[in-house]
Amino acid sequence: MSGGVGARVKAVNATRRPEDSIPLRAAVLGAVLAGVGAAGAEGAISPLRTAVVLAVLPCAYWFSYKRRAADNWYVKLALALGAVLAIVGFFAQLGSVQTLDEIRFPLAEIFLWIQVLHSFDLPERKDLHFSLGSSLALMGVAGSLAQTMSYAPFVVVYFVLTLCALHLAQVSEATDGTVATLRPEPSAPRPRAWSQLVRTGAGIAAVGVVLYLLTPQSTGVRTLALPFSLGNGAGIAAGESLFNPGFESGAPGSRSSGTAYHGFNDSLDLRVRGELSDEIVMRVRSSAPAMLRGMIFDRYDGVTWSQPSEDPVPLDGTPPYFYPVEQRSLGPRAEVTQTFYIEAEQPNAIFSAAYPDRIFYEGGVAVDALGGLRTGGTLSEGTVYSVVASRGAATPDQLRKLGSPEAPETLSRYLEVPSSVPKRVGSLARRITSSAATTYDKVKAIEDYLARNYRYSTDSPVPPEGRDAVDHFLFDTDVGFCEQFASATTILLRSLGIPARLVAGYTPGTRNPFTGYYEVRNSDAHTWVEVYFPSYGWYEFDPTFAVPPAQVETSSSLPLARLLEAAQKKLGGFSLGEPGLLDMAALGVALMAAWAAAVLWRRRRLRGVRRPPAGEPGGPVEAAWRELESALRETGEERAPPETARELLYRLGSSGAAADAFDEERYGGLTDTARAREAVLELKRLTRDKSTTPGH
Amino acid sequence: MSVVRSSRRVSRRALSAVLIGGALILAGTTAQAGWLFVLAAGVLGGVAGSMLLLPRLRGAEIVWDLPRRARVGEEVPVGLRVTNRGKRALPVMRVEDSLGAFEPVALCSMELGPGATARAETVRRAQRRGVFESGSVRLETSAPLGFARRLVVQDAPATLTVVPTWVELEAWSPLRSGGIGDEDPNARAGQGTGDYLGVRDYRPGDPLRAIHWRSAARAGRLIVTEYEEESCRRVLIALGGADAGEPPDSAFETLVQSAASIAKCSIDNGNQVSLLHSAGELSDAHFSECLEALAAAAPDDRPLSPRLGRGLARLGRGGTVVLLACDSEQTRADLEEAARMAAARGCHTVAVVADPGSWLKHRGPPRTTMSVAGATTRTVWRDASLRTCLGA
Repeated sequence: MSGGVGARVKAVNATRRPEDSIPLRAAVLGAVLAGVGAAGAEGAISPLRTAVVLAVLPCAYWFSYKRRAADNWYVKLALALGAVLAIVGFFAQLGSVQTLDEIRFPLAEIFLWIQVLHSFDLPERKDLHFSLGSSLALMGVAGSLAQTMSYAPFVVVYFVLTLCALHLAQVSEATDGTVATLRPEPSAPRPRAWSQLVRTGAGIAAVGVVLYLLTPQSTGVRTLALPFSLGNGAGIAAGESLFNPGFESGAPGSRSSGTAYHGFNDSLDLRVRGELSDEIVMRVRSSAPAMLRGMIFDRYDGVTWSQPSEDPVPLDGTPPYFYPVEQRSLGPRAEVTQTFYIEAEQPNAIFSAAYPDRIFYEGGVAVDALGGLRTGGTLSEGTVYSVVASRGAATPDQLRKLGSPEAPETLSRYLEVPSSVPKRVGSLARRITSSAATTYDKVKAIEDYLARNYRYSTDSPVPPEGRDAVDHFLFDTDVGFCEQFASATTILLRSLGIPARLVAGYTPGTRNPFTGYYEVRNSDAHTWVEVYFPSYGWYEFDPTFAVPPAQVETSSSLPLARLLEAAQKKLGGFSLGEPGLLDMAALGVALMAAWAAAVLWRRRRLRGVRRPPAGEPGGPVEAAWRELESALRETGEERAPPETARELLYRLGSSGAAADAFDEERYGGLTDTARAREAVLELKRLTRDKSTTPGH
Repeated sequence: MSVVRSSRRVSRRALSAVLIGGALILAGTTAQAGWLFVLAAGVLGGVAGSMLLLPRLRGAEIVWDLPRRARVGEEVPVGLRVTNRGKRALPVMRVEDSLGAFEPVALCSMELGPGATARAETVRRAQRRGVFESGSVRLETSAPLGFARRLVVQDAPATLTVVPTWVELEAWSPLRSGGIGDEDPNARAGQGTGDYLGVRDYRPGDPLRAIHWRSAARAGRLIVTEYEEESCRRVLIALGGADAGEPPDSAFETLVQSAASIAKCSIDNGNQVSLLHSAGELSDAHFSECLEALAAAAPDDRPLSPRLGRGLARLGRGGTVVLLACDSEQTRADLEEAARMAAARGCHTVAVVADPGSWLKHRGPPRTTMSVAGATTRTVWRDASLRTCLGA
């Protein structure tokens, strides 16, 4: 019995058709090495393990090539044991996984083991295909971890090698079961295989680009578990106050120190000037673009914005920390899920979309008097934290419907205008908003006024000693940057009795279309305004760049639509409007391109079907027939008067298809272009034969 | 050459790739990892691109290089030429030719540039008798990436006649028993005892004894004399009836082989052979002509007796009629009628009857005796030696 079972198992596992193609094996090995390299480069597996696997794989492939025709019983047994050990190890590693997000690492490990073990036994083509498939899994794991464009070379190399492998596999498959090979004659022109492959690759790449542009990159399904870790360890302890590692003790005079914006402090001095570097400070995975609020300032003394001196209040519990309910957004809300990967050390503050609901941070989190989030130490490089925020989602119409309500007394701090601000600032505010009926309209009127009458420049003049910075900007210089625009807007609104405050943080950054991350740079540091609307809460307004408030989604999920949006922004001047319209525009472009491609394709197919010259009767088949008759006249074989076209074609050795098509076109109208083309090709061939056969 | 059918189908590998692409999109959406969308686009682009770039194989022209004639069971060199008449290179493809005479085989054609020709030759065993004027060729490719297959079936012209085999009977007693072959010691070929009919040109197969050398010297070509007795050395072979079994192993094929064997024996023994079969009649045929005619013979349900008239008239008195058919009630009656007709003209009849039961029901000799009244009957059955069955 055991002999029978053993014999049956052996029979099932016996190698039926070993794959002899070395180029195919080499291409598959290359693709697998690219996958392993990518996984190692993105940190899915350790560098040592990566190096060992990269060294072992070529040896394994060589071994399996040499043993491809043998049954390799003992090898299969050993590999099966190895696979069992790998699975046991995988489940053991799962025990140490704290979040679902971390499952990727044990997954990468087991894919690697499968790849290595399987590489020792690759006798047939289907085994090589399996290797390709599992290498794609490794590439996928690496891709899920990749945050930068350094992954791009691995993608290119992997796809080139995979295309080569698939091409070689189908060539090998074509020879299966054949008894002989048709070889070209020595004098025959040889096709240039590489140019053909390059053309094919370019065609496939073009199709891939089109598919990429049209594949919706929706963020509908939220990650099941959000990652957070301290990465390279806790940062510099900050105590109760804000600590900016780039500006020790609030060193004045410079707007930026490397990757630190001077405004990320307890106070913001409007007299500071300077450029901000383009160094990437963080990468953000976000379900929607959002301004990243860091600090909130309520007090203005004429040149400086500052925060209250109360100590921040720690949030209880363990991650995720819950934001105080009383400080959460009111009214309609839209959820934004964000994960932050710190690339350069940041102050001890949690930057996130306003308002955070849950904060996933490994360490303590506290809330200051104005709702800003503080951490115990600076955010060191490698820190990862996540925030689930709820932004106000009220529409402009909803905000308008509130009219001009009075500000609640609890928000009196946001109405304070210092005495250093001249009365003409208030007069200006009233003049600008004289025709605005609602609070929302007043905010927009001020934004529009500033956009029309003031110029953006980081080199705006510094207010002289004793001069109010806002008044200096509004009436003397007419030029400034985000701090001046935001400060002026805040003061103008306060002078109208509208609660407003200054916020410092980062703009959403630039979304990398390949990684999907928003790359936030030091130069993205920004200040803007928050305005209070009763029943709705604080809403963001950006007077510098006129970013509209209550914006839930500013981008379509279609990459093509984003491309159009980017083009729109570059060209300026026209607006496609809502994301829905962008999607429609993108689909419209895609449909037009598809229609044009179909027309060109059809024309190319009919290229061999020549239409008769204008004035001559008949269709393409008759035109080809006339050419044939002309050739026959030259060779003296013209059709005899009683001979029909069908009889002539039979005499020439043609099949009935061409004759059928000729008759149908002449007497009934031939609508089948495929048959017409076949008939034309057949008649042309006969014409060619008659033309090249001398003295037939 | 015409394209009979062109089709395209998606391979299972393509469906797997599409599923993988979908999984990558799902993973990319969940993990919000943009690179996974790039990988998905690459995978799906490979599938879609390879379907769009699937070659049409329109320019391929297939021609067979075949000998004009072969014998059943003979090993024949079969050449196949593929010429690329198109403007684009033809990819690597499988070429499966199925000319009815041979078992189909698959060849591989490497890449062919425009205007190039590739050739291969294989040695194949001719398995089916018949006259073949065209065959179908299947061209199949899954270039460039194996995600889709293009199949084109073309008709390609070919000219091949596969003639039946025969067994050497040397001297077949039924031929002699009718008086034919009963040697008149004085009746040598060319001299005979009957009326002098005249002279005619020599035909291959005529006995050398019949050559009239004097006339030949005058005319500068071979001349033979013809006497009336030679008209008695005529054999009419009539082949008909339905078939039983699956060709090439069938009752009719065995009868064809029998007819060829009898024709060979008759001609070798100086008889003039006429042949009557489904496709027509042949009179005074040489052996090669008989083989060519037998190659085209097909089972025929029509009764033989009504078609014998002309043949019997040409046969003259004293000839031999050999009837070959598959046994059945109708056939038996038909053969007996034919035997009566032959007897009325003074001809001897030999009936070679195939037992259909040995192909359809049982193997081995017939269970019942088969005899045709008025004819010397011989029975053939499956797997039996033809020499034994015919009683050589």
